[in-house]
Amino acid sequence: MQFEIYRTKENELIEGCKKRESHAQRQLYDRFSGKMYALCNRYVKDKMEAEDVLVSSFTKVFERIDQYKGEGSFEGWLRKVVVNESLSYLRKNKNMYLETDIEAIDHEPDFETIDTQLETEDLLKMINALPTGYRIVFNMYAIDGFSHKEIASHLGINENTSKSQLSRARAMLQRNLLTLEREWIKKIDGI
Amino acid sequence: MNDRIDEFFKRRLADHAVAPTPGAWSKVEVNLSKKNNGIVWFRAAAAFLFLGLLLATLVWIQSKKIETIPTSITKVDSSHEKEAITKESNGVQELRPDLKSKPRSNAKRQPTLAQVESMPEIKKHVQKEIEQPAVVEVNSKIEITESLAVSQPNAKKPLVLEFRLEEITTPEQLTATEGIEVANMDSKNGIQKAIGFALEVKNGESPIINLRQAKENLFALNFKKDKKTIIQQ
Repeated sequence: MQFEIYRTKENELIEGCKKRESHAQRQLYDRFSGKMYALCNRYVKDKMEAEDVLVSSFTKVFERIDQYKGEGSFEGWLRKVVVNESLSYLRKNKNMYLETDIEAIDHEPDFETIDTQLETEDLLKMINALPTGYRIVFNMYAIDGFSHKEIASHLGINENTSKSQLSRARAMLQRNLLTLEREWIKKIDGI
Repeated sequence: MNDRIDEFFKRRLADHAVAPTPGAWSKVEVNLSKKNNGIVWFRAAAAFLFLGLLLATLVWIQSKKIETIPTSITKVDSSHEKEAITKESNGVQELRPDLKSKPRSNAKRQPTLAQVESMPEIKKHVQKEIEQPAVVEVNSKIEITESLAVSQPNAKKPLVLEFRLEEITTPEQLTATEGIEVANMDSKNGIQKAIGFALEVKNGESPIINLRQAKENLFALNFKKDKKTIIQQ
């Protein structure tokens, strides 16, 4: 029931935005800007740059909102717009792809412990520490749900490159998580 | 293992939200207003262009109408002429209704003389009218006068031809200046002229007497003698 009311209000806002009503645009922005800004932060490390991407993303969303035909969730459509805008920003400003040899790690961290100990900001910092190409592929595949085929077409690379970038990103994150885990264990043992 | 890392990060970060700075919305508003202003200006420019074209079209149509007014006047005149000509033909035959309506349609189209001549319908009518001489003359005249009237609006300034004649000296003036009675001379025939001339010579009144005198003077001079005297000296 509550979900239906939420959807109805969202549809009303979308219709208002299609009529270029500024109060509807403002409400839609207030509803999604936090999530979209966090998404921008995962792709673009610098917070000011991420905000610029957010601004240009919402400008495009309000200009092209007629293209949203109600197929699928609005948030999903919005996410795709923001991801595309982030990628185009990175394409202009950054050298995205980097090949580094990362040693494979045999054992994995204890995710339950990490989950309780790590703040979201720490995880964001860990992602932002990845090289740009790894970060993009990991964000797109692991968090935003793109397939390797979609990633390859978006980034203009082949699928195998996408897969190799993803595996390297995972290996780096795993290593960082294990390092953090060891530090906490040492802290606990010291106490 | 890979799936667990992906799931871990997705669960923690997918719905993560961070509030942007308050200035972000105002930037979005500025961008949107810029675009909207652009659209408004574009629409305004398009509207002005449309109005301009509309006005130009109206002015053009108006000017066309003004140009066609003289044609209609001449058309009325030609109809009067037509009536006059039909009256002149002593009312032998009245114009048939189809022949009456024909010139009007031609006047609407404003054909040139060549076009009128080339029109097959008119040719047919002319051929028909050849068989009926009285009416043929009337209609062919009407058509030609109309076509000429149609061509008149093109010539806005009428062509004016001026002719100047030099003054011609009359026979009276000649007699007054030279003292010769030309009028009397004209009245005489050739023999009388010769007799008159001979009488004048005899009486010593003719100018030819002077010539004779000049000849005698000329021969009176002794050129040979003069030459010899000159050589001797």
